[in-house]
Amino acid sequence: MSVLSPTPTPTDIFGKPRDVKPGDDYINHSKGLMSWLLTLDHKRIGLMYMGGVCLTFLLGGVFAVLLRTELIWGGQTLPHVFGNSWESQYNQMFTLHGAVMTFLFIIPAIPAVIGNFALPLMLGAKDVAFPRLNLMSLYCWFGGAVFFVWVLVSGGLDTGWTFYTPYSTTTSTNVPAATLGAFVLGFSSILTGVNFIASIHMLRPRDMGWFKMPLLMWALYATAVIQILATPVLAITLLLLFAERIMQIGIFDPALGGDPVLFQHFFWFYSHPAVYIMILPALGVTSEIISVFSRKHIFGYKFIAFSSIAIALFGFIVWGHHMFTSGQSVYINALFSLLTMSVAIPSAIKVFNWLATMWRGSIRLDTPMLYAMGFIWLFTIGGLTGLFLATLNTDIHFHDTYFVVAHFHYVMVGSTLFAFLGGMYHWFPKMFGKMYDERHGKIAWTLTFIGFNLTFFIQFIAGSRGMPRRYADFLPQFHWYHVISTLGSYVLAVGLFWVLYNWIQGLRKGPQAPANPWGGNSLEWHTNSPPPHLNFDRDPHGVDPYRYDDWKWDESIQGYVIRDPEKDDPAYTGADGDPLPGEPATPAESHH
Amino acid sequence: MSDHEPPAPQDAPETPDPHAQGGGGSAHGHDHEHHGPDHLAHHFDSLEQQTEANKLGMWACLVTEVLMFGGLFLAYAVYRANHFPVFEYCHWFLDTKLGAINTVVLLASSLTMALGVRAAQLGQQKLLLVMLIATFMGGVGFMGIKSVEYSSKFSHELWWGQGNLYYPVAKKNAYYDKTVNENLGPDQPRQAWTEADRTYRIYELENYYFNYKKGVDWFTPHYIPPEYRVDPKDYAYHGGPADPPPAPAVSVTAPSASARAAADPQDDAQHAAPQPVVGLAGMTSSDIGSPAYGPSGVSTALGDVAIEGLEPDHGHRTHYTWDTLPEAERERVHIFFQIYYAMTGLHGIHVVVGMGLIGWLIFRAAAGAFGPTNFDAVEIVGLYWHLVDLIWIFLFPLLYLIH
Repeated sequence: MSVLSPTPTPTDIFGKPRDVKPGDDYINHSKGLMSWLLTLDHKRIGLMYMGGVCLTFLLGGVFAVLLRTELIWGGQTLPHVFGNSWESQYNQMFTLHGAVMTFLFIIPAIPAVIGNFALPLMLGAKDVAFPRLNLMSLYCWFGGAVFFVWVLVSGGLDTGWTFYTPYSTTTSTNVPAATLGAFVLGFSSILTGVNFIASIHMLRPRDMGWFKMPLLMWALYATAVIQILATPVLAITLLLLFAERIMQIGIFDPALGGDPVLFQHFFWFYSHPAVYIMILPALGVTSEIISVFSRKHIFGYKFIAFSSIAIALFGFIVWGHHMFTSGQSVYINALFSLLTMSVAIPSAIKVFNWLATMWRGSIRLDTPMLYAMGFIWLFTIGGLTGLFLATLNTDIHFHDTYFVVAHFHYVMVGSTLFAFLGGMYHWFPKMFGKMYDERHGKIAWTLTFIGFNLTFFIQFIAGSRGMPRRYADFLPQFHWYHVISTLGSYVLAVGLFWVLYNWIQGLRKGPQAPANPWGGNSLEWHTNSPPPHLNFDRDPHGVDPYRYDDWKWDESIQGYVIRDPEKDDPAYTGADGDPLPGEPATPAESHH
Repeated sequence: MSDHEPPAPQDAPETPDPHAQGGGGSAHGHDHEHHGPDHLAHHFDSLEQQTEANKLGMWACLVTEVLMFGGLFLAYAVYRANHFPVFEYCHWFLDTKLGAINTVVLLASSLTMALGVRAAQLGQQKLLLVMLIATFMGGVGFMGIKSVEYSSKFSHELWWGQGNLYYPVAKKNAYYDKTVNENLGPDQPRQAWTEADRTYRIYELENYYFNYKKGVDWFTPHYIPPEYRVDPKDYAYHGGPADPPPAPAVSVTAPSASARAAADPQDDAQHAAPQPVVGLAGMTSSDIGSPAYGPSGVSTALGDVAIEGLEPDHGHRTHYTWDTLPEAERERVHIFFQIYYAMTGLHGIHVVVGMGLIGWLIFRAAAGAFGPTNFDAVEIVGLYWHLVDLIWIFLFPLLYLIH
């Protein structure tokens, strides 16, 4: 049933063919470049974010492949093009890889692309609460991206993405531009967070209480809380660093009497919660996909919902685990270690609930589900290796080794990237009204998954044997680890390009997508693919997003259509007395 | 939801307007087809919902502001705890009178803002306009007074970082070598500080700030009365030390006489008479070693040691002077000013942004844009303005008052 054949005409959620007129959906609603650049439509903004985010992902990915290539042999491998030496060229590459990937790609990827597109749809709303702020957030993102391009062409950056003082106050590379860029990107993040919080509070339709929201909403809500609470602290940190570089205000510079460890506290007070900005939306996306593709109600809804909030709150009190070796008090270290381990509780709650959801489900192994299952695998490995780093004595050994690199790539890249790709595949039909090629999707997933694990699993071993991170060169005993890791990164790169090819082919030649290809019941599947400009032809009302009984498979359109109670199952009136989605069955009887 | 017009049936005939929503012929039009008053955005069902959303969004933004300043307050707390003598010493340089006036100005502008919101809610257009303009003027007054304070600090070289008068001479000279002296011609005098220059100017500042009417004459901020003043030509930025001072810690008049004599012998007759230094005149390093002061120069007797020459209102408490500051803290005096400028500067930026928003409100209000059902903009700008006020309420005592 997963082989999709082209259906000649677009259909609505009842499986009836619908007339397609110009202006029907949000993509062809209005024409011209300006109608996109000045749009207030959350779906178009999400799509533009997607374009930008994917471009920066490509940029960060190029740096990644370059620096893996540099490390394939000991000594200098790549020609020396920029920087003072080939080693400083390497420093710049890993810095730009980290900064671009973190600030421009991972943090905005899921909230700004999938969140922007899906959040109002899932809430049954016409738009986010503040569409203009939403557009402004997009332009803040572009502004931040411009700053980073400026960094690229004006001496680069070699501080690592963390901007640790005092090196960042003394290096000759373009730290001020990079801090300003990250500052502006912070605005983008904050505005998105404010928008999501206000939307979730205010725009839920009637009948949608907090516990009838899809779990992605809970995840995005928790993310938004972090965004508005943590990002301003990064903003002031970067502002002070900027002032330090430009005006010699020495809050952090020891030469001026400042305290560099204070910078680390400030930085990680944001950047540890920022890790959860990256992972929480990914957890939400996974919750959606796992339930839909298991054709089974999500297990432990409230536990998953509250564990998102718990992770967000815990995220604020564990930042010190980045600084176990910075010389802070041992009592603080012990406390941070304990608190860090407690984050494992809500994380494990989620994983167990997903597994329980899949248990005895009717699992469809379509591409989004493969990514979601890959996510569980990577997130579990990443999470469990985090415990070694949360433990004080092992952390002393692992600190600043490839073990840390592998750990955070498993949670940040593996998990978030896989959830992003899975989410993109999941909502691809809704976004564009086209289906991608399932076979290519699976091949791409296989390559990505194998490539990722090849690249990073070996780094756990290299790191535990003492290979330090951020070194341009290595001792001979680490050679084969690096060779395998580099080859894995090539496989990963091929897999990602395959994904891109798959999407482009889907856009160009993909068959018409039905309104509900996966049989999901959250509200975005209750409208056409792609949705109309104002999202819904009728005002939706809240439904249980994880009750799939109301949809039946329709072979002719290769998608799910709403069950007609009269015809399909006269005795069936909904599982718990809820109104059927799309009720009333005959459109003339409005629910108003 | 109840305010919506009922959606058209799925199979309704096509609407003639090509821009209207398709997808089965919904009755929802494009953005400009409203289902309520003009100021109700298309994605809200009712004005109440819109107002609630606007306020919630603004509160979320205010939370980010609080957290942003929270970082600075934390830095303040850390540095105050680590360098308490510096903070105690430096807060005397801030003008409590001007700070208090600014507090009143800002509080008053918060009141006018609140009255403006009320006027908007009641539809009193003229009163609204008056109140907004009054609030704007409050912002102007605040920034004006702030700039008076800043310029007096600047004129006394109480900068942040290396520009600060207290910044260690050796480091300062290294900085000048890198930035200024490198570009000088061979015949141009090299800029350098001597310990004597700096010490004298510090005493001068102490005399001025601690003893002369406690604060700045804020109508003429650059003015230092003659008895506290020396000619900068003689003491600062001079072409290198000609004659090292007799001792690092000396009575105030000593470096003055010797340094000036060395610098400008012709002028000596004019200035040879000792400056009529009030205040610390009689206090020398030998006093510091007296039993009233602890080994590090910190007073061990709290509250009842009168320092000779201090004004009576300061006489009942001990506070640090240059001579009593612990040696390690002497190098860190500029830290206070770094925090001071960072906090008040960021706050000032927020005041300016608020003035911009209020200016925009004034234009809108003059056009009659606000009324009993449409005052969200006034209200949320008001919230912002109150927050700016609130932050100042914390800044004022932390920087100006406590010691």
